[in-house]
Amino acid sequence: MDLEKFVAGEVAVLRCSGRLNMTAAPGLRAAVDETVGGGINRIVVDLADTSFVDSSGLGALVGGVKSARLAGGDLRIAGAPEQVRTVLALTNLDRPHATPHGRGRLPWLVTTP
Amino acid sequence: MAGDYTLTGLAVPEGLDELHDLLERIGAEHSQVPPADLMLFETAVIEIAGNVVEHGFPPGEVHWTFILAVHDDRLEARLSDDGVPFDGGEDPCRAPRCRTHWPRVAVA
Repeated sequence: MDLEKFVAGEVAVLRCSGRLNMTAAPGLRAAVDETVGGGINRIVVDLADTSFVDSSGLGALVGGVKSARLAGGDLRIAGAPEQVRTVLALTNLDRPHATPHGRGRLPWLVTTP
Repeated sequence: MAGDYTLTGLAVPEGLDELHDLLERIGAEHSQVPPADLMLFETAVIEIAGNVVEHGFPPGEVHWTFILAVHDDRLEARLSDDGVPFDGGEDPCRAPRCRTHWPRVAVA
C-alpha cells in the first residue's frame, strides 16, 4: 500500500492506495499517530484508491479514530469503495456509535466514490 | 478436493498478497463469477488466511496450501496448514504481537 499525506490548514489527508491489510495497517496507524502527535487532530483518510481492507486495516482505522478523538479532533473516511463499505457494514462500524467515543458523532464514513 | 488452482507457501504477510493476486486472477479468467460475490469471497478468505499468519505456530514457519475450484454455481476453496495444533493451555494466543491488536474483528 502507498500512503501519501497532505496538509490543508488544520486538516490532514492520508491517501491510501492499494490493499489496507495486515502488512499495511501498521503504516497507517503510525501515520495517524505521527499526525496527531504533530498537533493535527482532524484527519481524513482517503480510501478512494484502496482496493481491499481486512480486520487489521479496520483496526488501524478504529485506532486512528480513537487517537484523533482523544486529542480533541476526529477522523473521517472518504471515498470508501464497495469492499470497504461492505466490511464496515458487516462489522457495524458504519455506525457512528460503534466507533470509540462515537456517541452523538456525525458519521465517520463521509463520502463514497 | 479437486482444484482448478493451487497455491502453496509460507503463511507470512507476503503470502496474503499471493492469495489476493490469485483471486484477482480468478476474476479475470472467469467472467461468469459475479464481482460482488468474488469480493465477498476474497474478504472471507483473506480474513481466515490472516488468522493463520497471525496465530499460526511457530510464527513465520507455517506452510499453507490453498486449493480453489471454480464451479458453475459456486467457488469452493480449502485452506490447510501444518501449524502446531493448540493444546488447550492457558495462553490461547501464542504470538505476542496479537495481544496488542485491537480490535480483532472476525469477518469470515
